[in-house]
Amino acid sequence: MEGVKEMHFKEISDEVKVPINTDMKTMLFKDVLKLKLSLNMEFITEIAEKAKSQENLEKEIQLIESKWKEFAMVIVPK
Amino acid sequence: MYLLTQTDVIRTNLEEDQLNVSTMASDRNLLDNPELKLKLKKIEEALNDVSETTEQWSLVQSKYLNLEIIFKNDEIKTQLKNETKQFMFLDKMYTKIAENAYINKMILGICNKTNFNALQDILRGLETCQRNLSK
Repeated sequence: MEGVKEMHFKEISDEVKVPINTDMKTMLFKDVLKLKLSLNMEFITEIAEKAKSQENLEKEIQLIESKWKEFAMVIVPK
Repeated sequence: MYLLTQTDVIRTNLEEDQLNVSTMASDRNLLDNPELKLKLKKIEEALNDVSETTEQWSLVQSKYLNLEIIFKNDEIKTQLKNETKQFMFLDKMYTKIAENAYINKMILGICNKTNFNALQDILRGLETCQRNLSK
């Protein structure tokens, strides 16, 4: 489940009232669904989409950060 | 003396990234992610510092270059001793910032609150020097 972090697993776990262990975290999203952790597929899909979107945001922020960390001012002796 | 150049490149990049940051800040997916919110806030503050400091720097540089011609004139030096002394003090402050920037180069290390405040003080001082000239 790309982009899904601890906080997202906690949200799912809170919703389905089932603790999510390490093995489950490494499974593919469809496998997690197969486990019937929740009857609320819509909720889990929503979390997965949110995690993906947050991951994209994080990448965008990192790109901006890196660009400005390497941005040099052009100062010339007169 | 050193000159800050290519401020248009800084401005173009700033405008683009400030817009990107502002768009990201309004993303609803950011709401319950404090870690990302904090990262975005930090980069937003850094970009604001760059914007304010470079803008202030350009104002100082323009004013400095105008006054430098006057205060480096020997006749003025003799006639306006106090004003020249004040200008030379500001010249030292400005040169220190510019020299440091010339060595370090990296914009995030240069554009900070400390340098912004110092440049603001220098600009006020230069404006006083200019006013005193017309008295």
